Amino acid sequence: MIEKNGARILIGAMNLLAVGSPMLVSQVSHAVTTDQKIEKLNVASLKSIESTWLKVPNACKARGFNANPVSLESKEIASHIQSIYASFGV
Amino acid sequence: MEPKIIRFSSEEIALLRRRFEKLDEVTSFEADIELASRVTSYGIFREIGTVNDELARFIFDIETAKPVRLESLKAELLEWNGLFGLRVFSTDSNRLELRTKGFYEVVHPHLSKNADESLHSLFIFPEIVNKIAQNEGVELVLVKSWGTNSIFGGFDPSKGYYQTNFWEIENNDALKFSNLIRHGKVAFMGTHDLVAHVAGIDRNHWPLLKKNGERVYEAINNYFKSAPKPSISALILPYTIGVVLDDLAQPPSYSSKNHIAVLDELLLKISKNEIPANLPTLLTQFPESFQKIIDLSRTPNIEQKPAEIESTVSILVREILSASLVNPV
Repeated sequence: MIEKNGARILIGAMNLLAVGSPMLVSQVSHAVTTDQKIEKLNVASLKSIESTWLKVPNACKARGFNANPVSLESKEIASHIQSIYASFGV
Repeated sequence: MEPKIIRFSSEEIALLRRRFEKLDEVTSFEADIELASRVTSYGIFREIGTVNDELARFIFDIETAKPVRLESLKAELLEWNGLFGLRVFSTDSNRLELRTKGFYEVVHPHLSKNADESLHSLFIFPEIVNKIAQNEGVELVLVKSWGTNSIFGGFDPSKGYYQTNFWEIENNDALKFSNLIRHGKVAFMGTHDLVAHVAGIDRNHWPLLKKNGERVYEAINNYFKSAPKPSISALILPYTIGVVLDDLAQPPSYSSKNHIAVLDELLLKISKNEIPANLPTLLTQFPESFQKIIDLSRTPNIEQKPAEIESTVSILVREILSASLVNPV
């Protein structure tokens, strides 16, 4: 038990050291800078790719329906779906 | 009882938007069917007759056997029997037919048909459509961020495409989409969702679809684990994967072996981390081979040519890398 408590204190102390570490602070600020840089670059990237994007048919409709009109053999709807419509009144 | 036409004032639209914005990011239709019906009806209503109208090319005039003109398609919101919905019609023809499987099932038969079984209009009620999906074991949902950028977003018709398309890349939407699919959920907020994902929905294909959704979710999640703010260069491959998964979630492409073969290769490629997800880069052009990948995934029996798939996916990655400037000034 004592050993466990001791271990907890040690881990706690290490956490404090880590939080107080200038390395950690610089890493955080580096991350913020990198994120901001990527954000700016992403805005520039989207502007930059717009003209080539428009030349790609599927990119212009990101989620296009992959189907062509067909002649349907039957226009009847299934009986269980008819029942659903009937349950809402006619 | 006759349907009653509803015209939203700008105040009512603003109120609908405020109610929508208070929802969780993903909200089941079941949670608030009245609000979901209004939002989705309004979403479809806004797209009818515009470049974003995905229903149009499947609505034919019986006399001419041609699709009705896009500009002839109109919509009006309505209430009927306690249901909120909309009516879609063409000023060119009152004898219409629908030419994709499952489309008739999401159109109210009694209200929409002429005596000769042709359609004068398409009466669509999201609440009934929700029951049809539930019957197939699929949960229809609203997605707040998507609706904010489409239904309530600034669509510029002069652009010829939804502003959301870029937004889909930037926000890594494939991750959100795969997360819905793996949980058996489908967004229903516009014409694409209705005709491409809900019409013809079939529970028999969903176990495999969910499995593919899971694979995509895991792969993209792992790829971005160390990059909370990825570059656009890093987002192209996930976007491509998302488009292939979107096809697989469409009834005509359910369980398609050609799509799955291309998806397998894309997932293998993303796992190799060849495009560093967190590297600050400027992407100078959208890769031409994106279209080739999508076309390949739509080519029957392409799964029998794995070398061609591998080579095309590799070209996509190379193209992204060569168009990416690292640390530009």
